[in-house]
Order: sequence, then structure tokens, then C-alpha cells
Amino acid sequence: MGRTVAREDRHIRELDDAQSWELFDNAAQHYLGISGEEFLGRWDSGYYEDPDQPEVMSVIMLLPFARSE
Amino acid sequence: MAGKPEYEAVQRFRESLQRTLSCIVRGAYVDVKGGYYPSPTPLPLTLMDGLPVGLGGTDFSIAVSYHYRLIEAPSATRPWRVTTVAYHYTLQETEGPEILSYQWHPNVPNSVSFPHLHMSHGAGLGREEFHRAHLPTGRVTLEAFVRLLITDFGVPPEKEDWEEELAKSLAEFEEDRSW
Repeated sequence: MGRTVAREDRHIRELDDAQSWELFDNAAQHYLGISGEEFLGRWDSGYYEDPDQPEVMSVIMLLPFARSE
Repeated sequence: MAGKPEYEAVQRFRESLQRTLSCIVRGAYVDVKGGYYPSPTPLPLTLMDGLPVGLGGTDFSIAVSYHYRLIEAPSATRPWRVTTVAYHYTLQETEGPEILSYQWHPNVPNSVSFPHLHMSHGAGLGREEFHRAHLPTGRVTLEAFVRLLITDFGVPPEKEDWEEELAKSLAEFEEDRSW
């Protein structure tokens, strides 16, 4: 199912909380093969002692999509 | 909100990055979250769902993500600016490993705080040290990364006027963005 977008301004897609979570969850699946929820659990517990692995850092950079301001 | 200086500053930042990416990515869009006000946590921007995006006519893909903040500036003409607080520009083989990645993420625990370059397995470098090293760099603009891909990696530009587009974005960066 295609993702709907809260607001589209030319090529800038402003996502709401649910859409942002979906982006994060999909990215965690793509890069690490785990759910977004599982990644957050690992991240908060200090599981990733070396965050500089390419796949891990790619997900870390998307963390603000997963968490509310 | 449109017309307010905070809104205009954030939109200029987003549009400038999207314009730069559209020089090499057909139909480029960026995903963003967050509003037009100062926030204690950084606001994210990423290219096309945060996933690697193939570059037409090549075996390369890129992924680009930013964290930024809106800050009040001591300027009557531009009272709000956007400051980048982290970036991540990666080039990889579409069906293979990462080649290189320019990164700056000073707030990630257990990593380095300075801007750096990773040269990964896809770069074909034999020494194992390269696969772990954080090669120090200055802060690298997205425009410089895109120019590198066009001029040195043979990525075909999606726009005939790509040089003017990059120059326009870079001029906006120098005028409006802030590190």
C-alpha cells in the first residue's frame, strides 16, 4: 500500500508521526533486518557498542523520525 | 505559517537540498518531519524514504540524511537561520557494498565528533585500516558531494544546468545556512 503524505510541497514531503514511524521502521528492516521497535530497544540498551558500522549508522541518522520532538 | 521568517528559513534549507539532489536523482524528493520553530531535538531530513537511491546510468546508489535546527540569528534581515548538526552522505554499489561515506554526527555516543570520511570495502582499498578509519575532513557540503559524483565518478547529471543549480544552492548555503 502506498504511503500517504501529510503535506506535499513540490518535492518536500512533510510526514506526520505515523508516516515518520513507517519510514523509520522500513529503514530498520532494510538496513538491519529488524523492526524499528527492536532497533530502538537495542539502541537504548547500549547494544550497539560500535555505531560506526555502515548499516547501523544509516538507521541512527533516521532516529529523529522515530521519536517525537 | 507561510510568510513568517521561521518558515521561510526552513523552506529555503529544504528546497536547497532537494534542488542539489535533483541534479543527480531523477524525481528526487526529501522526507522531513517537524515544524518551523526551535526544537530541543534536531529535525530530520532524508532523501527518498531514507533508503539507497539508484543513480541513473550507473551502478551506484546514494543515501543522504541530515539533522538540523532552526536558530534565531542576530540579523534584522534574516532573523532565523538553519544550522546543520549532523550529515551522512553515502555512495555505494547498487548491488554491493558501501564505497565511501562523508559523515558528521557529533552527538552519537561511542563515535567520533569531528567530520570524517569512511572508505569502505566497495572502494577496493586493500588495507584493513581503511575499513575502520575515520579520515578527518572539514565539513563537507552536499553540493560538494554531488559535484564529486558527477565530475569524478561519472554520474550523469539529470539537469543540463547542474553547475548553475549547485552554484545557486551553495550561494544560499553561504548566505543563509549555518553550521
